Amino acid sequence: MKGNSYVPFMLRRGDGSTLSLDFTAMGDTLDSRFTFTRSSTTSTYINSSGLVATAGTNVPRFDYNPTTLTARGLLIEGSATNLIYWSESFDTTGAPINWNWSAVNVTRGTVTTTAPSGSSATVVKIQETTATGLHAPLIVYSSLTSSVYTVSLFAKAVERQYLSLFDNGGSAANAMFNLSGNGTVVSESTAGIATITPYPNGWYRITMRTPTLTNMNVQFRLSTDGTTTSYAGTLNSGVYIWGAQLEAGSGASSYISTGASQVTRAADTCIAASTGFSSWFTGGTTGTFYADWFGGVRGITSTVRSVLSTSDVTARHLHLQQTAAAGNLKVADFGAANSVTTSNSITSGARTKGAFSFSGSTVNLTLNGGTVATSSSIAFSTAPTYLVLGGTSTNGSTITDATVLLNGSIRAIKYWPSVLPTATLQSLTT
Amino acid sequence: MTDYYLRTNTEARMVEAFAAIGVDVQRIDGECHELDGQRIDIGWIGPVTWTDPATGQTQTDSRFHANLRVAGELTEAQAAELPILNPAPSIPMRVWA
Repeated sequence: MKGNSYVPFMLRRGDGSTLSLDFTAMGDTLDSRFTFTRSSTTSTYINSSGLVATAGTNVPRFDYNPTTLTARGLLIEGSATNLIYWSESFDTTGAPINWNWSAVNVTRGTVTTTAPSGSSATVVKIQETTATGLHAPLIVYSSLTSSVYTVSLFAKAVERQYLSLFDNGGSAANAMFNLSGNGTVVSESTAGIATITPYPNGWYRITMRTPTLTNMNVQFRLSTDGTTTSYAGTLNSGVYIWGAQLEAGSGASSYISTGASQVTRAADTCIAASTGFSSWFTGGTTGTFYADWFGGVRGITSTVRSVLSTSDVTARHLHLQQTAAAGNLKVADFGAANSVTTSNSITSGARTKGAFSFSGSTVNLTLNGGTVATSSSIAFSTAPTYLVLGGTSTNGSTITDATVLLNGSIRAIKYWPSVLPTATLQSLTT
Repeated sequence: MTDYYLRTNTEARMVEAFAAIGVDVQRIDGECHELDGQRIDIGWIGPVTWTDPATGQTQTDSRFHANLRVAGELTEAQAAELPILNPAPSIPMRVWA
């Protein structure tokens, strides 16, 4: 999709920048100089009311914080597959192929209520039988690709306000959540694997990351007190559940609705090329980029994450990226043959600001106003012809490395066709 | 957009099939490419498993599976190079959103 309006953004009027975009103030329309594609007819995001909304094919998603309702910017995600069947209906029968849900001492009730989408919908209530023991729906997966996985679920307290995510398969990873107030992770089997986020209308999205595994038995265990999950049930006491998701990787991505099949959301691609690039990229091999984004939204992982990059070909490539594992900020050239990295690092999920200037082989880089890192060996000697947000491309029309997409939201970017002083880089990013 | 469901005996053969239409795959689920000026997305799946409705037992087809979504559609020549399941499965293990 080609955007059709231009929203200017100037940190300081007349600051000399030739590209200045605030993605938190664009409404639903992308700047016309960028082309956005995503080959999925339905993808979700959080809208300005904090609800799970859907976007169509090639429609950019401008995401919001579901709790504070503040704009987060342009969402750029890699492809992801929800491996869980019947993610909203939790069907226990009726799938002629593939898996159904099973249940331990719970029944699957349904009510008409406001779903996380904001619409009145049929929502499943998992409700206890009077049996003594666990009370949980479950679904079993085997032969998973050896990987870290993330389980997520929207849940709303009714008679019960505590719910546990539990892998009773390969890992025994588990976390207990309190579905009240701001939401609380009561306990977790390993520190930092669980999150809870309040949504409108009393819903919470709870997530849990597993260790590397190949088999899972995903269970959503009710609890009376946030500790005990084995007890004598009270007939029909339970919680509402909606939007279960199991996906490879660290952290939950935007929700993907499923039925009798697993569902894959295609990757986001946002590129300025041709005159959409040359109209503002006027400095050749000299210039400065600034970016403001949410860093490490799905954790600081073993994978590099792109913030922005120019043409991914020899001599034209500048790649601003979050480093793997350490979460520093780096600028690398083609093939990452040479690079410069900040000494400070990104806080996972936090708003992050970075800037770098370049003049041929010399690059100055800073993260959040920190010490400026410098390299004079970056192989950048020819003017690029396109810019990619949150990814890389060797052809200027699609992202071509599926492993490095940002998986987060970009708030703003700026470009100057000149080298800004290092003190200015620091002040911009403070 | 057009969806194609692909199956080969081995992953290597799937790689070769894509190479035959000029696509150098990364072998990553959800990778993107440009083919004749149009975007294609590839779901790199591998073996598929399902529950046999008659027995309730988990079954595995160890052949290699991939999903292909094309912004438009493949040419006849391209389609001939790819191991497209015809007819498409009535309930695929995995589909595109």
